[in-house]
Amino acid sequence: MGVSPRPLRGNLRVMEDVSLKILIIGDSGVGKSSLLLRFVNNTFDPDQASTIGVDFKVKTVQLAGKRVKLAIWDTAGQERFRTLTPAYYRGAQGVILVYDVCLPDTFEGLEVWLNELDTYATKKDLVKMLVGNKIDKTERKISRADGLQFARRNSMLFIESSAKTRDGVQEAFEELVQKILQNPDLYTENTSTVNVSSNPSSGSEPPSLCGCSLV
Amino acid sequence: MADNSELEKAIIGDFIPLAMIQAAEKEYKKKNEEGSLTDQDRFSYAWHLIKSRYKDDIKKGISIMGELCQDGTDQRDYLYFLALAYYKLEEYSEAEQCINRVLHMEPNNSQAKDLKKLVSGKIQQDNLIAAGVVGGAALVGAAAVGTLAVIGGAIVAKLISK
Repeated sequence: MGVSPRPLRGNLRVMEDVSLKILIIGDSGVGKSSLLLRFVNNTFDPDQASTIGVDFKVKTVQLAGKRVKLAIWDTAGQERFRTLTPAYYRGAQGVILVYDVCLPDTFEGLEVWLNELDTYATKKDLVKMLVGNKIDKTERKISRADGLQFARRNSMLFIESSAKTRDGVQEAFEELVQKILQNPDLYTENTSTVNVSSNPSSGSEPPSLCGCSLV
Repeated sequence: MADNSELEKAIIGDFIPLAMIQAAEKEYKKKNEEGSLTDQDRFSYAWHLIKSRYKDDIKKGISIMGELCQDGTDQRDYLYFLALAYYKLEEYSEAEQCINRVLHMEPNNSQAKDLKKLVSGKIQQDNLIAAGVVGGAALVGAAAVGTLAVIGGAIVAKLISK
């Protein structure tokens, strides 16, 4: 082929590494975990179990000349976890807020999720993506126009998707990441510590004074 | 043996900051004094404790979560966090029992399967170490017997030669 590997290596060397923390939130059963698994593993399980607390996946993508390591926190939508999952909002640069286009309750619940974000997210200019999922179903109740209007009113990106058919899944994550990358303030200051801050403890734990035994 | 370090970091390494645990404790005590403590309050407090860095917190979390577990509802969530707590305390056989019960309810639950993988890895590791210790002891024992036999033989030989 005669193509020297050298230029390629050169390119890799200059490619900037960025680590981002992404959250997925929304009511129970709207398909948060299914969207994540479609994006990360390209799989779909119609009997996806409801998430216990929070699930975590990592995926590296190349976008805008950068190698972006995404730490994605998939939160449980069930009521019993509602007071616990905000522990994971800290330090997130992007959030995917999901509703089910067939269930108006999940659309009407969006305001509550936005309020929670306002309360618990530490990065106030984090990028928000609204996703109307399950467009493969025939019994749609929320129109695309309604979704789009809500997103515009709340300064969010918007996409409709189906984790089942793959429609819009890749786009939802990639557009969110593209938008985050346009705002270096969001990620440059702590690029090197994002690995740590993807955990809720954010490395600011005070030293133990009690001599308690640590895990 | 499979390298579970990334998985372990994700599942076990997400510690909740001390301030949040303290806030949860305050809330729990307040409701307890008012006599208005619900299972959700107990669960929330136990969850915070189990996500702590400190073993004493985790032990306290196990005791509250364990009591909830006996009520029969929402067993899956309670058992999962009990398994996680036992894992953090390095009590792997208890962790295994709890996670097996979750998998019995939901055999395809990927979170439970991930945790089971970690637990199995640790148990396997412990077994190898135990086998190593026993094997090592046997070796030392054999060597001692051998040495005694040589000494004994030498004494017998000396006696005979006299």
